[in-house]
Amino acid sequence: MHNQKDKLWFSEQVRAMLDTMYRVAYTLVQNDADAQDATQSSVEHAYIALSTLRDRKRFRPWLLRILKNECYRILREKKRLIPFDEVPDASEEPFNTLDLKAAFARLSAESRLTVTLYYYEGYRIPEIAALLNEPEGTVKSRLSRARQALRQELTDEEVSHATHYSK
Amino acid sequence: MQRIIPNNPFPEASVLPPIPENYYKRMHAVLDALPVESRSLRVPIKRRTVILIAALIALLTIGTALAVSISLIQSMRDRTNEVISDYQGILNGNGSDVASEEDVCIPVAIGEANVKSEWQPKYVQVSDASISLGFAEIRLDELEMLQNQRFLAVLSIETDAEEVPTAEQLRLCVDGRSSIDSLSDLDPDGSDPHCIVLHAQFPMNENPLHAGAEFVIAGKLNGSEFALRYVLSDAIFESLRAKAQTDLDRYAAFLADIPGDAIQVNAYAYGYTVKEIARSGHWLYYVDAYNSDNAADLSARKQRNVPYSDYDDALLVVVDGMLNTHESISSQEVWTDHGLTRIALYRSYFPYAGDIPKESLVSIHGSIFRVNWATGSVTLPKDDAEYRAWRKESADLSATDYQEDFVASPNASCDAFTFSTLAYRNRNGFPGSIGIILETPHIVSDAHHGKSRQPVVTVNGVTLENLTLNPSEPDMFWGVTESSGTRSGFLLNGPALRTLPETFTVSISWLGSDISVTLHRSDFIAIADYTDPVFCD
Repeated sequence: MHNQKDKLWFSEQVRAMLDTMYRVAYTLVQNDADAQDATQSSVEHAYIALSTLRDRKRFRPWLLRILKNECYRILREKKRLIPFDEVPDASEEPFNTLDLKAAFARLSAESRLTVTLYYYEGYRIPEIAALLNEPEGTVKSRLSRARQALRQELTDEEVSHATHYSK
Repeated sequence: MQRIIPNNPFPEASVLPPIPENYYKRMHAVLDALPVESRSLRVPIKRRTVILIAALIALLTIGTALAVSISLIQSMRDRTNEVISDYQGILNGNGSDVASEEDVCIPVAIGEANVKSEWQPKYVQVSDASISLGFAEIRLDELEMLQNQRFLAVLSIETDAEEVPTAEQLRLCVDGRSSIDSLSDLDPDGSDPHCIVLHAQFPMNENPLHAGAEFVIAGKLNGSEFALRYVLSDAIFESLRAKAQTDLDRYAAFLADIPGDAIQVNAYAYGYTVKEIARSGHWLYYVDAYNSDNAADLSARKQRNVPYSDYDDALLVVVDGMLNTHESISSQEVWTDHGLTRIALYRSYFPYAGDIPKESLVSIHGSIFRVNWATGSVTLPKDDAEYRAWRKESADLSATDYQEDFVASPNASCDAFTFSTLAYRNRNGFPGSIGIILETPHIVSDAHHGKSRQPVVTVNGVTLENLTLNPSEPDMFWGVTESSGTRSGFLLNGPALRTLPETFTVSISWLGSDISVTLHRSDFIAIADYTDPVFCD
């Protein structure tokens, strides 16, 4: 059990990371309810484990790691992979946005996470490598593949739609 | 904190939904509801009086700082020495009072961060404590006396069964007394769902350890009860004590290096006040103060995009354009009904050990000031325009002098390691940092815990002298793994890149450690020659 000052310190750190945590969680579980559950659960776990964190400067990657594990636990429990059925309905969003979301959802969980950390959360490649416990080369190539896959998906979609509309 | 990424093919609005408002509401409620220990945290009246008197003295001290010259750095150093003395009492078996709320807090990692040449593992491996449940094995792997006066036991649970183990109702008893005060189920890399690593801690001053102490770890695993008994042998106990004593001695020596004199700064920016600065050898020391009343200013810094580390929120220290992170030495926190006041002592790598410039442009926590090392005078920007101009000057210095780095992939290898990457970095704080990343396909852990010998590095056949582990980033970039990783490495200080020839050959040898899947460690000499020329650009 922690004292008041630990709680305040912990809360300050977490509050500053709420946006990042949500985005990372959503990236992995791909729906709002699970993202919120994973975030809450990881915060509670992290609080219990706080005294095991030897270097508080590393709180941020440590918490994100716990969050990542929690997301994977949720995915394992639900025995599901990528929830295509949760991609928003086409009627609700602009055509190209939907394509992008669908293409993003088709990336592997690790690729989505890498993309989110790099493009949305501002992490650098060595930092992502440290966070995911992977060589920098793997992160770089995964980013590259993700970009290629996205471009390919969008190109295919454009061709498909162009063909469709030309009929 | 978002960086601007050119040609981002994943525009945020398109792939990630806006964060719903109920999420913030929910998370704030979760944070507010986190439990705290029941002990009253209200400051007793007598102590409040002491705090009030101390505050008055502090105010008087600030007013007469130049005349009286009481150094916060010296004060923090002395208070930290008292904490070390308490710990020494525990190691001597004398026990100690429980730390009070206002006591100095020291980070547990600083001893390791200060290691230069005598690398020793800090923990004791336990090789004969395990129990099998048929479908799973439970082991007591490591024991360690931490520098925060706590005792750490590391357990692991592994199973080959398809079912992922779920540990419940875990208890750790020492001499029949329930001792555990924190237990975490950490799977740091999330890659192996069939292995659980548990960290259990308890304060040593409440549970004095002795040779012959009996540990019992009990609980349920997938519904099956187990109890693992382990008796602390004389040899293990003495080994733990000796290692803790080594840490303590190292820390005490490190504290002795902290200068008592200091230059008054009192530069405020974005929630923090840089109070004092001092230097000694390669280290820059400073004390800052934070008050929770200024939390809003801290948020403003982010909005204004004032540079700070976007990795771990460790704020950057910039000396004459050289970026560095800092490490905490100790902090002292005082709680009142109004909030928190925290004073912390840090150190950061200082680029000039001998031939220092007369004046340096220093930026800490968004503050920026000029310090004349000879006279001890500090100049703060006179207005916002000058503040911005100095920040630009600092950024320009960084851009021109310290942003170069390169990464080579020579693919050298020896029996156990493949050296996938050699990096030579100038950014993030060091005039020259050689980083070696190892690929260890069959090794559970890495060279991190086996750093019992200083690596020998030669450049064009000339041995580099005075290599030290990069103390600010012990494993930040180099991914030292905490469990079943396959990547590790270390970072060394080296000469400034600009002092090296355009191409050069690097040879590195050190004593590595191969930690097998059964956690038995064997040491070996690893040698790598980067025979292909390494290019500076």
